[in-house]
Amino acid sequence: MEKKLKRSLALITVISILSASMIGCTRGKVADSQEPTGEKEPNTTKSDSEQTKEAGEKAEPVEIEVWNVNVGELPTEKGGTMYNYFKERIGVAPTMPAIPWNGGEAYLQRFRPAMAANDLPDMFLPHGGIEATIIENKAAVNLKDYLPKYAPNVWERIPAEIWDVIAAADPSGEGGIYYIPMIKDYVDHGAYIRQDWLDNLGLDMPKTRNQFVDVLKAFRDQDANKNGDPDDEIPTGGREGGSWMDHLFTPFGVAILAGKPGWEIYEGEITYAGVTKNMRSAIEFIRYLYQEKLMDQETFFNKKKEWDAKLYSDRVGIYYHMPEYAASRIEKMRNTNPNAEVKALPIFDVEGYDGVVSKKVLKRPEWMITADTQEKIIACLTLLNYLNDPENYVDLEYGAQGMHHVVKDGKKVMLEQDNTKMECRFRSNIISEKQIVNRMDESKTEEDAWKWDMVKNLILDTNAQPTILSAANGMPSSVYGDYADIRSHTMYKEYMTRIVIGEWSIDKFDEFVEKWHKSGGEEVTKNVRKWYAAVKK
Amino acid sequence: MAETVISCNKKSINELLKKHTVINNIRKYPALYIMVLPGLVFFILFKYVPILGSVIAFEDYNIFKGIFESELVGLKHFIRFFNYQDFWRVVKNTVIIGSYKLLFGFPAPIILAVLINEVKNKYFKKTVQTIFYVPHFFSWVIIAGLTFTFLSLDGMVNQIIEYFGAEPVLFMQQKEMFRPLVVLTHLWRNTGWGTIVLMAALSSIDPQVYESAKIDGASRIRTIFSVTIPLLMPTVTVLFLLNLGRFLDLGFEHVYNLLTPMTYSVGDIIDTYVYRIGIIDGQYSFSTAIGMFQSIIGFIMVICANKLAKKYTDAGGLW
Repeated sequence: MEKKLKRSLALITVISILSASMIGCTRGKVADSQEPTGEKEPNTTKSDSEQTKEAGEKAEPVEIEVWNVNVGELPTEKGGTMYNYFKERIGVAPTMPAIPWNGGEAYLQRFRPAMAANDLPDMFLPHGGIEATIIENKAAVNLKDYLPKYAPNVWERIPAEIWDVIAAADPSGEGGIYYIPMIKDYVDHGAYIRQDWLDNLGLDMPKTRNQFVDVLKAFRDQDANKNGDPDDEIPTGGREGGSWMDHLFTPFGVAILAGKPGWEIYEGEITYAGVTKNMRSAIEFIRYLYQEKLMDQETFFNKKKEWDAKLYSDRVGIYYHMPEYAASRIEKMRNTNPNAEVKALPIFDVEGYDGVVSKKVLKRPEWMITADTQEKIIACLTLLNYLNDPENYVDLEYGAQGMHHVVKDGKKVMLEQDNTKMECRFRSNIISEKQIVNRMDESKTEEDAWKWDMVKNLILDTNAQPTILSAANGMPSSVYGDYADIRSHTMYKEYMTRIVIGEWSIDKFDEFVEKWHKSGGEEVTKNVRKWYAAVKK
Repeated sequence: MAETVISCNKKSINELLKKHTVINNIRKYPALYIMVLPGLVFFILFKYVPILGSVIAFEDYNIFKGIFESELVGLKHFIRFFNYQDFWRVVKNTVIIGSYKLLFGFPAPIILAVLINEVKNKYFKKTVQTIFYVPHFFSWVIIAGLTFTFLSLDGMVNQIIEYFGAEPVLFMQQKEMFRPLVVLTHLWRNTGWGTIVLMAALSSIDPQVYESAKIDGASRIRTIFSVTIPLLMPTVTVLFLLNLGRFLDLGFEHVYNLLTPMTYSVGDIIDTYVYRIGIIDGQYSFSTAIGMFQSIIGFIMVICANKLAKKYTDAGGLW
């Protein structure tokens, strides 16, 4: 009898373990057995007008969950401000959780488990090359047939060449369109210099390498911010891992964005900018700046908060950032120094190199849709169509009344950006320089015209510089295969930082190039060149 | 008469049986078993069932296909890890930092516990203990933030250095400083917490032993070495074995938050590599294979250490 009992106990245990593990696995199974959403045909029985009418009249809005970048703003919850904003306008009610971003790493930390648990939102920003796996498995909706019908603003405003590039990223060769890109027809990053510092020291805008170094030396040695302390100025600098200091690389013709070397044509072939002789010279130059204390000695430790604090406290002479966010930065600088004035720093001339900004029109895959019902797919596209209607652009920038702006004398006035009180404004993913500039002209008031004019000039001057269209426009992240360390620039960052801080001589760069090729770089380069050849055709 | 003997025997046999069967035990003490149940379910669900998931280390796991549909690839991922160009670097860093932590981090709570034990004033003792526990409740993100600030150019350490007229030093970007800093932060956070078990063991030492030592004329130092430490040894052995099992498990958060590209060469450990591969790059099979490798090493170390402990100490091993 004892034996029997033991046996039955053991049996129960085994069964419970198995059933528990089955629960874990069947979830995946159910999803698999479902018809792949990508294959679904758009519902063609209803006309457009019927669809929108229906959506508008419905008492119950279509709810969708959306994930995108959040830099500390409030989440949009059911019944929240932006939820109602869109519910009233288009009958689609989006919710968006507040997922920390932290350079995209925190977002991935949250996204990967959700993907593994088959618990993805209806529409999301695919970051860090996630889209490659999803496309490969056709786990997202193929938008090819949906877009012209349900999101004509998206479909028509993005040039056909770009849709071709996106369709080429479908590894099945069927030319499916699995993501909607972020499109900007202008350069949205640039270097800025404190014009008031130059004026204080009687200096001209630097145009050559030597002039640039002279300006940095003057910032280092003199009291450029006129606060009585000649030692508190930081001529220039950047952030951890060498991000946000592209202005020291671009004059050497290095294709780079926010510290990540890109792919560009070097010596006739598309190559990783990190292993070119241009990069070698750039690093040598930066090393010199660092050793001469012409750049922040803490550059490679600065997190966003620390670097911003230095900027706002009137200590940094030249910095690199995005002009679209310049307004609030300049405001904060003026709180410390009422004379603060910022201008775009031109790419300075370096002998033997063509300094150029490599411009990507297709910034990144911005939206993927994995919604599982026809209704939700259409709701997602209705939202995107609304966001990308040029007519709505200005309205969307103003956000919701009471939260993002107030109406004064019949005119909308933006409230000062305060992430702790504001939900994320949903924005268009197709933005043109003209749109931004026009909006600044239209919305400025007498009191804040100085600010908007300054920002407008930053954008115009940054874009007046020599730019080339990036060869890697729309390159799929699948080219990296399993080479995670190549994708995340791990080795580049290590060598670059250690050379710059003076631990290694510049000769170590050659070792890096060799090691990079050996550890997968060669394979990745081959993939990239293959992709490039196919797209060029 | 004979019948009664037999029936008697039967009775006692039955009684004996009753005593030993699980079911009767359950019948007798149902409350105890019910209390055990949640723990048991917890271990099965969250500790044993996930082990089955390790099978993906031998597959090219595709999250859209699931465990059963993914292709089996044998030892491919293990071989890839051994061939990883920085394999020796991450293993070496892991072993070195692990050894440092064991070497300095293990004795520290013992010393502290013995010292606290010598404090006679009850209130002072409690206060000291509490102060030492507090750092344990800080997360590594905060501790790393404090460390960076403390050692920054405007930080306290550099201000002192500058006060004495020397050039400030950026400690966090010097690779020689990285491992000592890992150990120091580990000590700062965990030493106090580690004394808890030891203090409990110390309080269970019979005061009579101390009294007789006193009567024999032993000094306080003598008492520590001849009474306190020997009586503490069984607990120390168990703790040591438990520590060994986690030898390669350095605590990802701890190292990751202190790491910068400038210190990769001395601080990139298996855990941080798995993070890059698994969480950031989503290579589930590969990172599972590495995790498995780590667990197997840990398992072997515990078994060996247990054998040694059984052989050379009176207290014996864990089992």
